[in-house]
Amino acid sequence: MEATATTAPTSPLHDACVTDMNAPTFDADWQRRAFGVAVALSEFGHYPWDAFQQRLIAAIGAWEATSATEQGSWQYYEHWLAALERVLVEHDLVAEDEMRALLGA
Amino acid sequence: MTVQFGYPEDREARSAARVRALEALLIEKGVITGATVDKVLGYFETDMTPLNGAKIVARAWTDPEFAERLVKDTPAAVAELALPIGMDGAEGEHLQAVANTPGVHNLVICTLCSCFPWPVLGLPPYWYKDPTFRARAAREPRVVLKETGLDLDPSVELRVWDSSGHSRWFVVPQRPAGTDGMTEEELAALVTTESMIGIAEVPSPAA
Repeated sequence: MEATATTAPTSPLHDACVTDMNAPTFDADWQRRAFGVAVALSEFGHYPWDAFQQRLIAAIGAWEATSATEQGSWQYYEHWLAALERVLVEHDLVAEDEMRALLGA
Repeated sequence: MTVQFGYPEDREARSAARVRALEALLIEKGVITGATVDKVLGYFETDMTPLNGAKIVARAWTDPEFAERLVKDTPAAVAELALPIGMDGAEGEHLQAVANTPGVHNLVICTLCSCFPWPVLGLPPYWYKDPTFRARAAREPRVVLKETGLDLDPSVELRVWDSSGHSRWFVVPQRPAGTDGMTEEELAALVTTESMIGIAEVPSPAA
């Protein structure tokens, strides 16, 4: 945006939020797919949205409770993906061992 | 912020591979099709955008009775407008509008994750999901607003609304000065996403 972002702000808000009239885009296609899969499954009744949301809250909460030296940089959609993996197993859409195999691969 | 992992590209690649494998497995099991996901994504990218929120705000600015109904029963008032279908779908449940007045400014956050009224505001900007923003906006909202360019007069009451599965808030900002003769459509074009989160005001077109 304009030349306001030279000093490092403690809260990096403003460059991105000035003319954001269209749906914000994703930084990577995998984020978009993870979003789409999670929402589509809920929209088509495979789990209530609240169930996904509770898993997302738990994933983010676990990250926030981790010590700063171990937590790694913030990546919202990693938590989103972790939540999706948990909710799929909980709702029997993917078996626990299938998920393990998939993650271990 | 220091980069804790030496190979962030590996993290990216790993996440991308996980999503690909997961979607492929769900397709193989017949739970979902790739086209379904595309359809849902297309819907969120083209229909569920802040333009819906802007139209709602513009109506509230031009019709005081609508404005009253909007804060009293938001879903019912939103249903009066010709907006895309599905306004009460994902994250559109429990919509709740709050209106700014000369004495009250409202700010919407979500401290636990990132609840956001997608159908009226689209997907949240990245900073809304940022842990620093979520924590600081709850703890010292006035300071955060000032840093982002909104220096509220001390006499203005600041109300912070924490969105959740039960209430997804959005702000009806104040109509800016210098907009008297404008049509609803022209007004809608002035409304910004940030103003409907409460992180900014709608700038006057004369400014």
